[in-house]
Amino acid sequence: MSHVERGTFTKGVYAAASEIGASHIAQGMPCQDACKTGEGRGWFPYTIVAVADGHGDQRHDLSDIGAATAVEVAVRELSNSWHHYKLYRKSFHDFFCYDAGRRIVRAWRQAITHCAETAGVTARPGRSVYERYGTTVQVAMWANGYVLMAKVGDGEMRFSSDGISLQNPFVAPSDLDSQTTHSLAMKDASRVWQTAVYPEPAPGGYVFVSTDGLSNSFPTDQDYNAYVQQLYNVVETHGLEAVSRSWPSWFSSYTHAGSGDDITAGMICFGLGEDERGKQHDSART
Amino acid sequence: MIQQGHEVVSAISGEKITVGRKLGEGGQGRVFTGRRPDGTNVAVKWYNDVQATPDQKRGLLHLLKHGRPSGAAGARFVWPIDLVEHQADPCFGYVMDVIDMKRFAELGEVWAGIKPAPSFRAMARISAKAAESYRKLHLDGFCYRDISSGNLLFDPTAGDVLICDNDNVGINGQSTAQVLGTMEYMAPEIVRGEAVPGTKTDLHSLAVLLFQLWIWHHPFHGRMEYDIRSWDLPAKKRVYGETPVFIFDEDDHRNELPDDPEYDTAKLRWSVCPKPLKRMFRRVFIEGVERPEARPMEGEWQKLFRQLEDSVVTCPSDRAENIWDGESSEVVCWHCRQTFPLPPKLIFKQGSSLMLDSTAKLRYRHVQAVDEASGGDQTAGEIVQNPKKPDIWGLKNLTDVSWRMQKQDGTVREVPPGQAATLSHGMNLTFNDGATAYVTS
Ligand SMILES: Nc1ncnc2c1ncn2[C@@H]1O[C@H](COP(=O)(O)OP(=O)(O)OP(=O)(O)O)[C@@H](O)[C@H]1O
Ligand SMILES: [Zn+2]
Repeated sequence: MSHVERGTFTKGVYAAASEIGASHIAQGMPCQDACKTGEGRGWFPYTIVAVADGHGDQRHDLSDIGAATAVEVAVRELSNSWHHYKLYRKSFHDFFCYDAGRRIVRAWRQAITHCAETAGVTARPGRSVYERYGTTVQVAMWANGYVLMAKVGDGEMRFSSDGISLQNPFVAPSDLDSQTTHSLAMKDASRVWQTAVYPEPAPGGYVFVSTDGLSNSFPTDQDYNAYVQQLYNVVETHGLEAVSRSWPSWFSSYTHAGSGDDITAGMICFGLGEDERGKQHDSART
Repeated sequence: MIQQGHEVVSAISGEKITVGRKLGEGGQGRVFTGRRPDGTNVAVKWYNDVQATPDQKRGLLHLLKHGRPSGAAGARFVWPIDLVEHQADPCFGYVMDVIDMKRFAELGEVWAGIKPAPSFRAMARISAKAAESYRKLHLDGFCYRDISSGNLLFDPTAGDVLICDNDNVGINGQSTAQVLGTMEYMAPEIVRGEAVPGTKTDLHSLAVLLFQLWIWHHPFHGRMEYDIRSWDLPAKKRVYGETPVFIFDEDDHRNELPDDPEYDTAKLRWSVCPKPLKRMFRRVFIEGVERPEARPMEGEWQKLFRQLEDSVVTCPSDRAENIWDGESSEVVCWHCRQTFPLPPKLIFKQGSSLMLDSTAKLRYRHVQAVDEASGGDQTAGEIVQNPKKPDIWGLKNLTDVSWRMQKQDGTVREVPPGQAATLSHGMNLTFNDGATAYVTS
């Protein structure tokens, strides 16, 4: 079971893909990851890539729906608010940093409440119904000269301003609470919405997002970083369209060889075209 | 764009600074490490082209000319030290001190569980120091304009404070509308377009920030915000500017907190918030939104938070920190809900008091006139237990001047530096500068 979305925007290309984990196939379970992209054209274009990782396990037995709802809601809320704030850059950034977490968490809960009521799903004793749908969410958005990134819970994001350097905007919680996975189902979810805002990178720059099914396939952070950089080199040569078409089969081989978990990744690349336009950008860079 | 290895030149000192690795990046530009010719490390903020305007440069030069505000209160500002330029780049930047990002936290990092949450005592210290520093800034004729949680860094354990992003600091009353700040921190009269940023409006922003530190919530995010479907600019204007209603207003329930688990943390934290602080929040967010003159001044905040720090009492059953409200004769522990009696307290001549809890610290501000350079925050005395008789407590003199104690029966004794005065009901203490206090249970 795989899912791929991709598209182009005025500054480049974007894509996202999910692939079911080997262990989930073995257990006859659904993919508990989800991804969704969104874009706006015209005078005020924007691009959004959202990924979510349902917690899985028995306490979160409906987290596949939770994750699908999370990316749906995140893309919708950000697109709508972009339309409200697009004329004022700072207002949109403030919305993204100070309000979007709260609004997305709330919209997710409303959608889940509706979903649970329709399906006759009830909470476990002493627990909230949201817990059964528990999921993370991560978003990367390009709009009006900036890249905005945010997340609730686990998962990795990387930003490259030039196609060579790589930074992690969200350094993992040191030793503190490293056991607790943050989740949209937590009552304090809107407070754990972490954000980072960067100026739009030069052609050659990119944003990479993945659920931890991918990062856990690598022994160390350095290995994961090296993978992301290598992946970008392949994208530069073959174009994101071709690469993202291969993602499901690549991810499938990683999950069979490694974590066994579902794998989802998304990418926004600046200065690249539909296919092998990487070369074009190479010449633009020199 | 400058990068690692480049050399930038300080406009005022003429020093060449070698650019090192990138420390971070924000909406306005990038921050690098830098090395001065004498080998010391600095941080270099380099603006991106949208931000590198002549106005920004003028503002920076003004801040440089004035220099960092003086004393302990001023030292908390991560003030621009020099303007820097590079011959091949039309943009510019400034030099500042390097911040220890491991030690200092933003409130958002605490909320996200990345950094530890400060204790009551640490929150009181952070709040008092923030208020003291903004007071100093205002006295120097500046206004901050963009007070927000992202600009206040604190050490969650020790309660120390740093105020960053000072490049947007403006001259009081002369601020252009360009730097309006973040709407959720903005005074209602600015949101309504009736005022420009200044000291009075900073006082509102400071109060919002303090409220967030203590309650982990926004003072106007209640029913009104909850019921708004489309959180757009007109909606924000309504909630922050046109009809700002405090969520804990006991007479006006329009904006009380909805019955939703989202609000549990705010409700819990408000329920354990010390009464005098609740009164202050009510004043600033109820009277203060109508009449900016009614807003508590920084000095009032500072006095309140110092008193709160001095009112910390530890629960004997679980060691949880509580704050005595200044009224009750016993304390109900917020953590285990058990009631425990108050320890003795030291009452100072000016009326303030220090709970003689085992964790209490007597500070220089208690025992002598505060000098600007130090701020009076260093420890002047601490509570010690008699090793042979654990139920006897003493106040150890950590200053370098002798104190004088007079017991209730009239006997007088010296308390030389390094020694402790055994605490007994009714005793009088005379400190360094002749400041006096007595012990009462
Ligand atoms: N003086 C400093 N010492 C060490 N690191 C710093 C210093 N100043 C900034 N940084 C690092 O650089 C990052 C970017 O700082 P900057 O002030 O440019 O942006 P910001 O505060 O994140 O965003 P914005 O400027 O849009 O408010 C910070 O998050 C911090 O990690
Ligand atoms: Zn207790």
